[in-house]
Amino acid sequence: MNTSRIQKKAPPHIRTSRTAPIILLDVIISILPLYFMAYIYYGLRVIVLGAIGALTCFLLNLIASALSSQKVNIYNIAPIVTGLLIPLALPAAIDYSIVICACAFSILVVEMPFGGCGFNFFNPAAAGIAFAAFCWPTSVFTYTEPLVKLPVFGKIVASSYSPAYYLKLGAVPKLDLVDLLTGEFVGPMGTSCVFALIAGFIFLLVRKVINWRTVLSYFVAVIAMFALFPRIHSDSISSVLLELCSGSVIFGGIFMVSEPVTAPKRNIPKYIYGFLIGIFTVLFRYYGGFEQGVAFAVLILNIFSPLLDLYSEKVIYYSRRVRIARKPKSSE
Amino acid sequence: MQENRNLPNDAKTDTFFGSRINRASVLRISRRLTVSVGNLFFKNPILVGGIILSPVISAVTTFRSGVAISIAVIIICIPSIIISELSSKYAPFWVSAIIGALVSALMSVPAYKMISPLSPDIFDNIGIYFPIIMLSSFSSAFTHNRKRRIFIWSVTDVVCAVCGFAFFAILIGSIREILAYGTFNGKLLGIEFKMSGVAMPFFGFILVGFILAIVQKIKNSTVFFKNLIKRRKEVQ
Repeated sequence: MNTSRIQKKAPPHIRTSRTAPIILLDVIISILPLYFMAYIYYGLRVIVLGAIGALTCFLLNLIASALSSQKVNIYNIAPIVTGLLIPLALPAAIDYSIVICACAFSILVVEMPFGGCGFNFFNPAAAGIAFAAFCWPTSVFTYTEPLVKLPVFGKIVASSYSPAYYLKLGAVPKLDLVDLLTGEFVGPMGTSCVFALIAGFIFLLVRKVINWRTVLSYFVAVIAMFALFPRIHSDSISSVLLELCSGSVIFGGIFMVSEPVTAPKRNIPKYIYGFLIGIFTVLFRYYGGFEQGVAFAVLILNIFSPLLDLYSEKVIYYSRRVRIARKPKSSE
Repeated sequence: MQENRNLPNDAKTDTFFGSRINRASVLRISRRLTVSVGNLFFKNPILVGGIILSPVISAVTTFRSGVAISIAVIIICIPSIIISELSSKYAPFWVSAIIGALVSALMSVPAYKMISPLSPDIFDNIGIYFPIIMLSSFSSAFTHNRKRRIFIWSVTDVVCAVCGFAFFAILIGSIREILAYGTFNGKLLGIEFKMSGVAMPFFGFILVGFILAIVQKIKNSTVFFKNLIKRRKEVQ
């Protein structure tokens, strides 16, 4: 027996050209239009915010890897993705220290204690955003007007509220459809431009970075909830448009819900996972303390993600057994 | 007798500095003492046992609340465990457990009176869970151990565990107060950067988890603690 073809190396044995760095690079490319639009609306400060976030995450990941006796991999760009995503859901006028703390939380508390990239239970970006929202709600939910260039250094006083805040109060914000789609209104710096978000989404979908099942079920749930239970005195279409475009709903659906590490691995749980996140997002927006809810919904459903996989396997196993038992035996 | 078997032969016969106490008994006492002192960290109710975790996480957000809950634990647990240990010599185990529970319920009244002026909001934070947690977890942790039949060591274990609890409760309370409010014991420290989320229960879990990790790291890496664990295993 020829045993020379048996591989003695550790897995993975099957390798393709689509490695983790390439997938992460695709995510970074899909984020770039959001930074570009944010730069047009708020100036150079957003680029500095993104750079600080990415650098903080990258350096802390290296330090934590060294301290925890893990392999220090300087080519691991997963922390950079986290560091770029966190500032996008925050206002452009946010203090740099808040971004650093949110990034530090996401890496040191959420990602590294569980084994680093690929082993985390919770979405690091969602956790960082949720941490910032809990610790500095005033800074996180007050914004500056778009098309007003912000200084790179110095303290900026933000005093405007996003349309999501007015929706929470029960008021109907007066926004043009074009403004809604281009993101030219008060809000988080990188989550309001729908065109840029859709461009990133299509790119990720074409490159097969994200799974369409999770995203589809998420948007179905969100749209259904906004249409069936509108909280403003308006028609369903207006309610859906305003609710979808006013906060981080689309951004969360594309970049947080579909994250492959924390999402379920099987197809049917993916539908359930996305659907439940959609429902929880709307519930958080309607009844939660903050105007945004997608980050909290993602974190809650991250806990149930392995359970969804487990129970789906059991359901599939028993359904197969039932099918086999019902199958008539062929007579000889 | 089992402890004597593990001692060196010369230790069983030698006297201790000419006194009537022989070296074997001194060694036995010192070994048992290290086991009790180990309760401060390695058998600590918060860190290792995970019991009485919920009041620490939900209510201990300041230095004062840490002190208050430590006093409450001292007042409730020490008498209840002493009495249940004493009663276990004369009554079946299930009777002594009930006696311990009753005493701890009784002692929660003076505990409430004592800590209310120190931290008025602590009972609002934990509410009904306070006496329940005291009864169910802390006292049962000691009364359930059937190996500890020597009264003095049971008391020493409880005192050490309570001291360990107090140490970590106050430490956690102080850290959370400094980070969340920028104060220590109600006095301003001049820190402008505050994280209000630190006072929330989720951060309590994270903080306890990190302290536990640090203690485990120290436990695994330090030679002294390794010897301490070795002695604990020998005695038990």
